[in-house]
Amino acid sequence: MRRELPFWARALLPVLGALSVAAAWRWGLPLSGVPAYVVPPPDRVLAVFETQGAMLWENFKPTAVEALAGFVAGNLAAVLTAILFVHSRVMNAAYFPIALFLNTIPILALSPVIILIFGLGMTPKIIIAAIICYFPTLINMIRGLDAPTANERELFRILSASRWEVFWRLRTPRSLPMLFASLRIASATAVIGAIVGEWIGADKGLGALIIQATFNYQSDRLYAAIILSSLLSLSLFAVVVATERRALRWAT
Amino acid sequence: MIEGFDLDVEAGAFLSVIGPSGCGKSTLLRVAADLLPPLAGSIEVLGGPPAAARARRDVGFVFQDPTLLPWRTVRENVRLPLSVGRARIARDAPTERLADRADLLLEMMGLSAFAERLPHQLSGGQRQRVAIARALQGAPRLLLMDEPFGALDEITRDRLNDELLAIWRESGATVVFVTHSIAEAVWLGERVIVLAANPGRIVHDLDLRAAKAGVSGRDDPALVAAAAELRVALGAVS
Repeated sequence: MRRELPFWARALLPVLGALSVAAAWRWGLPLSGVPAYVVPPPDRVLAVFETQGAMLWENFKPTAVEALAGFVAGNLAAVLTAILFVHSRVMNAAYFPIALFLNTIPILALSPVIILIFGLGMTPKIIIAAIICYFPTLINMIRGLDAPTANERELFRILSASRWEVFWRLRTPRSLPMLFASLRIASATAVIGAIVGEWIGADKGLGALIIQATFNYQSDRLYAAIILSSLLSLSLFAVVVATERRALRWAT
Repeated sequence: MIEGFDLDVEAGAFLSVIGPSGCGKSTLLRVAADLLPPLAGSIEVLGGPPAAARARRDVGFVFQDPTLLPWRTVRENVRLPLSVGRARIARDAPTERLADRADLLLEMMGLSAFAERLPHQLSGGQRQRVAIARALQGAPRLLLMDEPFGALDEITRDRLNDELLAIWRESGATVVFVTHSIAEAVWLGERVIVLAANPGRIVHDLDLRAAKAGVSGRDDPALVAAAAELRVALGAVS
């Protein structure tokens, strides 16, 4: 077995690694002849946060709201559908193939349709973010709710447990590890959904900012928008992981 | 799967069931526990259909795998029979089935210090003790055990054998104990039956009560002789 690095090294090395990449970006890239309007140096990107903070914040807010609302709506819908499918073979047989088919439509192809139906407000972005979260959680939740072993089911039958008790005291806790695995994925994809929605039709939001900055050769703004998108995913991910640590202390 | 099967188990007896894989040992327990329907013929458990015995919580079951719920502490696992199926117990079971005996049972199994632990923090033997305590929660009149110690090391297994015997003597419950081990079957059972596969049937039925009257330990000649007899019976069918 390989020995683990000492604590100071594990804390320091990621910082050094990030600094080395930033240094290569700041001093190495200009040497290779890449112009600043294509890739701006990091200090100019940071300057955008200082001088245009209010503008960035105004564009960050709608994207954050859309991603969060889509995350909640999509995952909730997926969990409810999974419960329905697991308890009704008829519903599963009738509607699971449709869910599978809808999942194969690329979200970029589906988004214009949703914008056409729901207009240019926040609703279509929330719906796109929700759709993108929906399917992985549906699949994982169905598998999770079916995860109890044969012995666990027999145990509950011997105890004459009701269907509700089997669901609430066996299937639900058993499904949580798989649910959280898909929530981690959804924390990144919800942001992608919101941004894709904004690309297609919005005048505000990180997606709109990315499009405008690209067409105007404002590469410093573009990079600032990218960093904010990443921070949004990261904070959503952190909330999911923190909740998971609390809920799944038993699963270690 | 099981054929020509005619078996009566006396109330309060300890019956060991032994046989090769696929002889229907587990099926026998599962039919008695109302987990599987009998394909043909009839079965009575404690004077009625298995479903009625299950509804009254007269039957406790111990699997080879402890089957503890990993998100519940040891005490919460032992209390599981009180937190599910309550509607059914209230209607069909005697009221003592609702009494919380968790702390008593944990003490009896030597688990008091571990009551707040989670299953993954216990050893294999401790986990199986918790499973036994859970099966005893409602003071069942019939305890069905499906190779409960099959996955444990021999030292732990011997100790749990003796604890099980003490529980059986004290509780007066009927025990049906399925095992792969001849030594275990002989040491525990007052009576041992040997099952054969394809079709499942009883090929040997050994009453050990007389032989065990003066037995002092596992290596007692009477037990060694019984084990040899069972080995011959098993050798003929597998």
